[in-house]
Amino acid sequence: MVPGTFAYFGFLFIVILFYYAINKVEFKQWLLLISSLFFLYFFGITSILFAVSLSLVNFFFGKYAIKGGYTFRKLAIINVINIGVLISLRLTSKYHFETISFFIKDEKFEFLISTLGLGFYTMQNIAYQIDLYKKRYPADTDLLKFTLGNIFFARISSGPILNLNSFNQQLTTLPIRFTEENFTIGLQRCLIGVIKKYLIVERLAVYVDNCFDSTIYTPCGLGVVFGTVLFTIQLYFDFSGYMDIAVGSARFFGIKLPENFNMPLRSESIADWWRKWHITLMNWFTQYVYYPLVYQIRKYQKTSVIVGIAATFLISSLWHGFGFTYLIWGGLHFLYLAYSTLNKKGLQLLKSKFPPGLYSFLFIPITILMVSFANLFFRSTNMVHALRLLTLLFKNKFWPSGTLHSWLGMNVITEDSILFTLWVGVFLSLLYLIFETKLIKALSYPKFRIGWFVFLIVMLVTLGVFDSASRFIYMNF
Amino acid sequence: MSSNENILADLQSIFRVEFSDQTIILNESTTADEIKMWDSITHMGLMFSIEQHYNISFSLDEIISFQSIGDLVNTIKVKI
Repeated sequence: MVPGTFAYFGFLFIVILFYYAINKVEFKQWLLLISSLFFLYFFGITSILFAVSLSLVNFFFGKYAIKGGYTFRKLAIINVINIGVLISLRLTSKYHFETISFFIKDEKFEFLISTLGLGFYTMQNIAYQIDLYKKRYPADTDLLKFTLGNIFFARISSGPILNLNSFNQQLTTLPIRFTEENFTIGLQRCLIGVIKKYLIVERLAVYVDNCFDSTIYTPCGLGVVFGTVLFTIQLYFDFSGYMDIAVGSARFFGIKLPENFNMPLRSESIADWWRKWHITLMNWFTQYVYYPLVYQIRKYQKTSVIVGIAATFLISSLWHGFGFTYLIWGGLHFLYLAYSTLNKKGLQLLKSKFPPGLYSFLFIPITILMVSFANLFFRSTNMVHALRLLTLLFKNKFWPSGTLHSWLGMNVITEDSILFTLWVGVFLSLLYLIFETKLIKALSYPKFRIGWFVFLIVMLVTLGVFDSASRFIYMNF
Repeated sequence: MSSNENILADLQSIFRVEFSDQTIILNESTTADEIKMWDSITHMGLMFSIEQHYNISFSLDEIISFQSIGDLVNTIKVKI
């Protein structure tokens, strides 16, 4: 049951009905917990076992560790368990896929060994233990709320990463009555998430999947650039669409989840990009990796910052997956940020020489190209695929010749309808990005407007591509 | 003990040097959101410059928890 499908929204609708039929906050918490366990069941019984057992271990470890003083040794033990489980499951998953994936195509099996959202709630639990060790918060005394913070169905697939303490505070003040504001914002966010997925992501996949996964297609260099930029746009719509559904679903219950995106495709630099892209993940890395490390060695000034950036992106690469492609992705972002840190004054001077509008006009596309180049490795299944694209990019003819089909390398497929699907997707994504500021404002409007609702539904029904949608890209992490 | 105004003036000079921007004007309600280059990467360098200027030391939690220039001024005031 993937967020964004009919089954998911049917499930959500039933939970909302029960939720507002109940008057006591504690029973509402129980309902959300049972619903979350039910949701996890669709991804295999091991998902429930891992999620619940990790919650229990972290809850009771934290509770008893503070008695007699939370020492560094205790912190090391619990985090070796947390990280050990994550690493061993990722390795198991990789091993199984490499050896038996030709024989087993059942999607449930994939979930069975990868477990849903493990990377996300592992990070929450590590943060919880560090905060206890640092005496930033008292130990949680409510197992129900603690477990719900880890497995709440609206956000378990791919985050956002929560601060368990502040999430638990929201759980104690759950609304008793259904409000127009919660209903309207919840509905609008869910709808826009589905629109992003079925109107844009699935259309862009027509070219992105062929460009990255097929060995038959041979686009020219510009075709590869087009494919990688398109993937960056696709990833944004896919992940932010998932986030819209997560935030919207939680809002129906009066819960406000933190946002993960702030219009990243308008970034003027890579540093700007990381302030706007996957915000809760970067906040986690900043608070629990970058700051503690740089603080210890801060007397080395710029060197300490470079070391901090290197460590952050090394761990971020490993968190996304074990493989050279992720390491190169992280390495490229490290190089981008290290260069801008070491040449801060020069870049500032350069910026001052441009009128603000012109600077944005030039540097937004440059930033997207730099991110897309790193994403060439992020999206490639393995190094063989990445090297194939690099060869097409640098050794093949860069500029196109012949028909549009041929420069996109799609000469194998001659159906115009496929190209039409792609161009409609490109057009819709550009339209969304141009009006993004206004759209975000409209989506957070708290009063229900029937015209706006009908417009979103008509867009979805008339332009949606429903036949191939499967799951969200970030559910792999 | 320095007054808030004196600390604010010192901080403004440090910020201008750190961010190579002579137009920065600080007041106690200024936050990181209002200064475009003030992010997690530049934050540590900034804190180190302030520590050196006043010959003081911030704890990690202090560095992480500063929400505004006012918080920074109050912490400096206690330490000098």
